[in-house]
Amino acid sequence: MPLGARSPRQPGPSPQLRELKETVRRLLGLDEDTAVMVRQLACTEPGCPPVETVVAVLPMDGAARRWTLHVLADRITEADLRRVLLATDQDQQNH
Amino acid sequence: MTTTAESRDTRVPVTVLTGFLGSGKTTLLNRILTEHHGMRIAVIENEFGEVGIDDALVLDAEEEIFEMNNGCICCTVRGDLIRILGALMRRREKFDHILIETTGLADPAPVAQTFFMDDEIAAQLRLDAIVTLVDTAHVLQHLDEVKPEGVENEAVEQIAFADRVVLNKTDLADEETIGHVIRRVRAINSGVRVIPAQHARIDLQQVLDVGAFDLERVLADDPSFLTDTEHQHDATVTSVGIDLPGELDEDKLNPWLGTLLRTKGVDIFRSKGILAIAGAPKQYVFQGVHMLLDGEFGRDWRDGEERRNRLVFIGRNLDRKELERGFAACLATAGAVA
Repeated sequence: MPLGARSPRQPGPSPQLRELKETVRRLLGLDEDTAVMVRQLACTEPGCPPVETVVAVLPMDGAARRWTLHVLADRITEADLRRVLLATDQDQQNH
Repeated sequence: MTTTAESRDTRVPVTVLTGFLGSGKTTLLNRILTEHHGMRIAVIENEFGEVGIDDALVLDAEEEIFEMNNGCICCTVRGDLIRILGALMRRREKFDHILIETTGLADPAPVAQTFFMDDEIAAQLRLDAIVTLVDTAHVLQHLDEVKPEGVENEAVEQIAFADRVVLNKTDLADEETIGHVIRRVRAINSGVRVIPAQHARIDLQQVLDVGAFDLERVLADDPSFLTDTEHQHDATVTSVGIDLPGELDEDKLNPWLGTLLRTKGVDIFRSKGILAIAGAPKQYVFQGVHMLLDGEFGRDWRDGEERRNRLVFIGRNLDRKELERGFAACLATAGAVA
């Protein structure tokens, strides 16, 4: 597939990403107004790993948070999310 | 004009309205909110609280730049929009169109990238056009303003990102100035459609639901849109259009494009194109903002239609010769006719 290509337009978002987002919501106990993003990035600026998956949580009120998993999005398991999102020393940034 | 593909696209169109303070954004916005165009429009902007005006829904947003990654420009989105768009889509039945008004000094990149970054947003919303208003009498001084090292000239960026430039307040400028402004706008963004106006009075069909991110639709109206770029030797931000017959070798194209976006993506504001990939029966259509690229296979190449590649880059310090040479090296064939 050419760079940037996505599958022919689907009626909705990727079922796999939707499932990951649902898992994030469940693990963090988020309400439906809180936006959750899961995005695999291939950002290759100096100092950045070649591929990473970012989980971002943006509540309607309160600070946004994000976590970075150095795993391809389609390889992320609930255990990965549990380990990263629920860690006491979270690798997260507040905005 | 609506294509068959477009008529199947049930996503909500989103118009982004940019422009410096005093350019007439609010005047145009008020016209859009009060004119009888039959559309129910949800407006996201920075000044009002949430109020209903006729059939419109106006929501307040405070610009919040959210970095998905450590400061990389390619991964910067608007956190406020992600929150509000998510909430809006739960009221999907209340509107037909979304209009986002940015502040005068806003960088359009994070706004546009918001629609590339999240698949849920991309599945429900389609970026229809970026519309930039300029004050004809004063825009040149903004474009000429020398910024400190590392600081962007927002006026240049807003024109570079635009699909439509509304040349407002032409009644306050003489013909020479108007001509000069048009030349400057086209030097930055050669394919942009320029709409002269007074008091922001324009035909709203020129800016709403125009499908400017639908390249097939754009090219149907203006076949030279991607490649009618003049050589500009004195401008920092310019457009480079490439039109090459032949088919592309995907194994050459991907590393070239990947390296280009990796190394020059910060300077490439927008990219768009229709490509002929060797072995693919359909056209490959893509749009990019900085390093983010979104593409899909469009319509079939027609019988007897020449396989050709048309693309344009709009950005800072673009090396036309290097781009042309690099792209030509991705060709698998030259001048092949299907």
